[in-house]
Parts: sequence; C-alpha cells; structure tokens
Amino acid sequence: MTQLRRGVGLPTVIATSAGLALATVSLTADVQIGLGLPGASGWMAVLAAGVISVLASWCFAELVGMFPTAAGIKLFIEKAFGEKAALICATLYVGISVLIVGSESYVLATVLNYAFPSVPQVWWVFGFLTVMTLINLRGIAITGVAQDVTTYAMVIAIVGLAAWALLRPGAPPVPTPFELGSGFSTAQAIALGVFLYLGFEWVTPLAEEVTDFRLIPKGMLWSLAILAFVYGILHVGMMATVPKAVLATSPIPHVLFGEAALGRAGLVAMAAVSALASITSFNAGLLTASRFLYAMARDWAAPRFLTKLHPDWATPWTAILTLYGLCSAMAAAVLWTGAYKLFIFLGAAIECMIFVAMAASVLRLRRTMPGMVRDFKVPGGTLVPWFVVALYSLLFVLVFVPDPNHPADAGAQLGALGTLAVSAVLIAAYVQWLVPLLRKKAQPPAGQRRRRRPGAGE
Amino acid sequence: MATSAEILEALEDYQVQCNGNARLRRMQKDWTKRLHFRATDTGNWFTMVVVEGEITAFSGGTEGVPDIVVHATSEDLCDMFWGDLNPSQKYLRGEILVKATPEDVMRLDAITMIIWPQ
Repeated sequence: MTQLRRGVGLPTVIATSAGLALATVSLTADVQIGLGLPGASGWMAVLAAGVISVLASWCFAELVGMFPTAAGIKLFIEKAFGEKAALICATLYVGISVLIVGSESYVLATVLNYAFPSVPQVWWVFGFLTVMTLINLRGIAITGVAQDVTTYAMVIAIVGLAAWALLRPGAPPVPTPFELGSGFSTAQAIALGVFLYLGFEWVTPLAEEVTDFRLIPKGMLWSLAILAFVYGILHVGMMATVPKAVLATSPIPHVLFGEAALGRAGLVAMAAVSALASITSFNAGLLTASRFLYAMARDWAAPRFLTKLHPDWATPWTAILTLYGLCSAMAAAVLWTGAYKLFIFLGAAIECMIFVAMAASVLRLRRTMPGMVRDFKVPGGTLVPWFVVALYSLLFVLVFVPDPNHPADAGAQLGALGTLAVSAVLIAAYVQWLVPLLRKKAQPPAGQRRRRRPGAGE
Repeated sequence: MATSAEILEALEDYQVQCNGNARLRRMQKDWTKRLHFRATDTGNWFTMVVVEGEITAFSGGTEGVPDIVVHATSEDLCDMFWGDLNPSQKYLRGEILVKATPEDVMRLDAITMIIWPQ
C-alpha cells in the first residue's frame, strides 16, 4: 500500500482525541461528579471512568481496524445489525452531540461574561456560534499542528494551575481525598465521569490519515491517561480551593477556582482554556456533524437540500447552516432556562449507549465475520466486550436515577431521560417511515435509468 | 471485473467531464492533489494528477507520493468514473475506502456531486 504524503503521527492522534473531549462543559461536569461524594474523593470516580473507557476504546480500535473509514460508527453498527439500527444510533449520537453545543455555548458565555462583564452573555453565545459557523463554512479545520498546540496548551494550563493551587505555600489541605461514598453515589459518579471523556473516540476517523493504524489505539490510551490526570488534579484542586457549596451551584466552577488560586491571572487563564476548549470541540463537532448530514443526504437518507456545496469552498453550506440554526435554538433554550446540567446527564447517557453499541458490534461481527482481518483485536476473547456491554448498560441506567445524597439534580436527570426518549422515538420514526419515502423518490421511473458506461445497459 | 484498459477509458471520460465543467473548476481552483486508485480485486493501480482543479494527467501504476488513496473494486472504480454510481453510498457502506484528510474526501465526492448531481 502506498503511504500518504502527509501522514498523521502519534502526538496529533493524542492531541485530537484529548482535545475533542476537553470541552468547557466538561470542566463544569468535573465538579458535578463529586457532589454526591465526600470531600475531594471524586477524583477516584474520574479515574475509574477513565480506566473503563480504555476497555471501550479497545472495542473502537477493533472495529476501526476492520473498517478504517470516517464513516465509522454508522458503518460498524450497519455491518453488525443492519442499516436501520445504524441510522437510528448514529443520528441519535450526532444529534445529541449537537444538543450539547447549547450547553457548551451557554457555559462558555457565562465564563466570558464573568471575565469581561461589559459584554452581555447573549452576545458571547451567538457571537461564538456565528464565528465558528463562518470558520466551518470557509472550510477551516483545527487539525494537525494547530490541534497539537491547542490541546497541549490547555493541558499545561489546567495542570499548572491545579498544581500551584495544591502545592503553593499556605495552600489549604485537600478535604478527605480517599474517603469513598456510598456504593450508589460512587457508581453514579463513575457514570457521570463517562461524560468527561465524551468525544475521545472521535479520533477514529483519523484512521484514514495515520502513518500506522496502531497509532489509533495507542493514541486513545494516551489520551485517556492524560484526560484522567487533567480532570483528576483539577477536581482535587477545585475542591481544595473553593467551598463545595459554591462550586455546586455555579456553571463556571473552574473559573471560580482559577480566580481563587491565582487572582485575575488565574481567572483569565481559565477563561482562555474555556475558549480554546469550546473552539476545538465545536469546530470538530460542527465539521463532523455537517459532513454526516451531507453524507446522509447523498445516501438519500436526509432531505436533498443538505447536499448543496459552496461554489468556492466545497463545504456543505446548507448542512452547516441547518446545524447553526439548531445549535442557536438550543443555546437560546439553555440561556433562557439555565438548564445546562440536563445536557451533562444526556451526554453521559449517550456516551454509555454508544459504547454498548460498539461492544455489541464487536461481539456480533466476531460471529458473522470471523475471517475478516483485524489489525487490532480486543484481548481476552469476548470477555471484555461482554463486560463493556454489561457495565455501560448499568451506568446508562444510573445516569437517570436520582441520588438521595444530592436530590437537587433530579429534575435535570428527568429532563435528560425525557429528551433522550423523545429524540429516540422521533429518529426511529424518521428512519422507519421517512427514509424509505426519500429513497423511493430518488429512484428514476423504470426505463428511464440509463448508464453512461459503454455496453453497461440499464 | 473491469480491465485496466476499461478503467483508463473511464478515466479519460472523467477527465473530459471534470475539466469541461466550469462550476467544478471554480470550486476546485485551489485544489492540487495526486491521487492513487487501487482496484482491490485485480490489484491494479492508477494515478491521477489534479492541478488547481484540472485533471492534468492519469496513468496506470503508481507515480509519486499520493495525497489521497482510494481502494475499490475494479467495477466500482469504472462505474464511479463513468458517473454510474454514487461514491458516497459505497463509502458509507465501507465498499470504497479512502485514505485522505476529511477535506479531501469531501472534495473528491464533490466532483461526482457536481458533474452527476443524481
């Protein structure tokens, strides 16, 4: 096989995977995890969620090794369970990811409004969404060196600030860092911890660009390790520096922490980290989601107007603007209601769901395509995929069960469950009834189909 | 199974269609790439050179270091160059594999999309 002129190496695979998971709302969720646990012990739940994410990443790696394509998740599920299941799962996954943008832009706007109060929150929200949409319309993607620099700068800033807060002279003691909570609270904290890693698997489309396929599983492993360390030390730093009651009620706990640890400089540093985190996540998210919509429309599984390409930049402008409209509506809804936590629960649930789908696909394809070459195989036979299915199914349920130690989030949990259920029903109905209609419309009448290839006939 | 000669004939028509489409030339004006195509069933390779949106050369075999590598059966390659199949559908089903950046994958599909919109 010939190699590409510009192949992607390990540092970029790690930076892409970690950078996509590091979003502003993840920094908010880093506090949410510890609310039902004593003191600063939430870092253990963060670590546990990272460790089990490694098992899920192996399932991704096996599937990408079989089908190294950016069509990824949809293709894996389609090969295992058929096209309908694939369309429902992939649309739900991408759709929920778009919904989370509403929460992400709200939290970012709150951060920037706190740092620069003269600019109203609403301007930050729609300014951010508009600028990012224009960048995507122009076809500019934050990849390669730009992604490397951005991700590693965020990691250094967060770890540096947390280390300073914990080790500086006169630093407050860390409250009960090793005391476990109840079994239920700990399990639910791990379930929410899954949200922190949401997006690490979006690195799998790089399988089309890497110099060596094995860099994908290796890169995901390193990325999960870095993320676990970053979220873990930030969690401990926040809990040691700012009262838990203050953190619990704020959408921007990381900024309050930065300010408490290092004054105005810390505040600005965390605001900058938030901006970078949102820019990289949103850029990649909009890029992926718009191409997904475009590909669906090209496959006659979505309305045809979504295939329109910009005459100069070859970007799917109608798909991008459609997503801009959806994201803006979500951002306005979150801005109006302040219900940003709902999306943390929703994100954790959808990530659990997709991990279950990936592990189930591994199991199914082991039976239906046993002879297919696998560049990477999950070790331990079928034990790990079965474990992933069972564990993430349990975590999926736990995401929605109210914690008696922290009942304040019951409404957000119920809202997340309702949003997920309604979205799933609507998407299933769309796939069941509308997609066949769109496909039927695409078929030319009998006798009118003419092939251009000489001698090919109809 | 399509022969090398059939694929080269299809490539010749593809070159005429692409280079003669003003809308496509405008869209791809800043796109300069070297593409390798591999017929997975016959093992044959083909090279195509695009300079600022114009297909300037194509040949059998591999020449130079590619920016994009496309793997498909010889029949699919032939049909794709004649505009008889939708490469997006094959790509989504894993029957056509492309090694390239997401932007290049998009640009490659855009060619078919513009020339043969259906």
